[in-house]
Amino acid sequence: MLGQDSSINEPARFSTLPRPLSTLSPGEEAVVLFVDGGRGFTKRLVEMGFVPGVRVRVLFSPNPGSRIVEVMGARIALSVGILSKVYVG
Amino acid sequence: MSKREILVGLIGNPNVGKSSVFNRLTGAKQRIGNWPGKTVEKKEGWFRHRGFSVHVVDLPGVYSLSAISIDEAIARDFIVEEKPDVVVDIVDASNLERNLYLVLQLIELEANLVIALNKIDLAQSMGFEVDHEALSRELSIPVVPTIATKGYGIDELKDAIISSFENPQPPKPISYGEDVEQAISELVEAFRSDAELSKYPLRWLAIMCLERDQTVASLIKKSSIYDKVKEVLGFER
Repeated sequence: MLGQDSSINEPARFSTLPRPLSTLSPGEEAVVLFVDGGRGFTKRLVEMGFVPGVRVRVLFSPNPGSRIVEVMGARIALSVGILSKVYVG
Repeated sequence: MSKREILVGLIGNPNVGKSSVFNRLTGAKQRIGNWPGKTVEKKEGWFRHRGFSVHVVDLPGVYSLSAISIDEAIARDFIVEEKPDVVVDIVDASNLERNLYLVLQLIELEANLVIALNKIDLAQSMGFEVDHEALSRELSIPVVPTIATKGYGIDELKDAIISSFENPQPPKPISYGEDVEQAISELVEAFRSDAELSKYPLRWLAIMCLERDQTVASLIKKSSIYDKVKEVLGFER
């Protein structure tokens, strides 16, 4: 089950303080901790590969509002607004 | 000799080499058009194999079948409404984890599946050794290793399509544990009594309903058993 009532949204066992993926600079890597959003949003991001425990890397920023992110072997372009709801550590 | 035409849907994540497989299967016999009412290209092709005429429809590259985007809706509607005889899911062997999610969704849609495990050369060069026989056993789905860019495994894939058409083997349903299974079976019972809904794979409908899938929700709202479903879900919608 995905969504607000599910464990995917529950913070768990953080080694560092969770921070939004939007705060990473190009070249930085981190592990997905949780997605902070509604049911549909969370499901969509999980389908794109933003599953807790998965390594993500910000590749570059084609313009100030968006980032190219590598996740599970695919490169995905997302806006900073969306990335600010994906927490990594 | 039977003169039946086999309808095959070709599906897979983006960038798995779906077009390469499509081109290798059908060669020059292709037609490119549009999905009715949608500005999404529809590629169709034909080939003959062992006396069968096979009609291949190339579906859009998707990560899932949630029908959020138009590509996903097209792929899902094709499988649910047109009920192709065989669905070939092209899986990128170098990126198995991501690709298995779509496999799971196709199993739940009760598609008659054949998996083309593509890019095995790339997987090998990355140090992955995929045991396709074990994968096939675990999923109860035929798995054919291919390298579409080199034409490797294409004849075997054609054979697998024909034999899946001749004896379809239902894949093992995935169990979600007692609580969820209880809700699924209650929902399946409720759906069975509705003529409109019973043309869909019922277990899939139940799972999508539990996931609060928008498309399935609106389908159920229109149906005669909406009240019963609300009861099972214990839910306000």
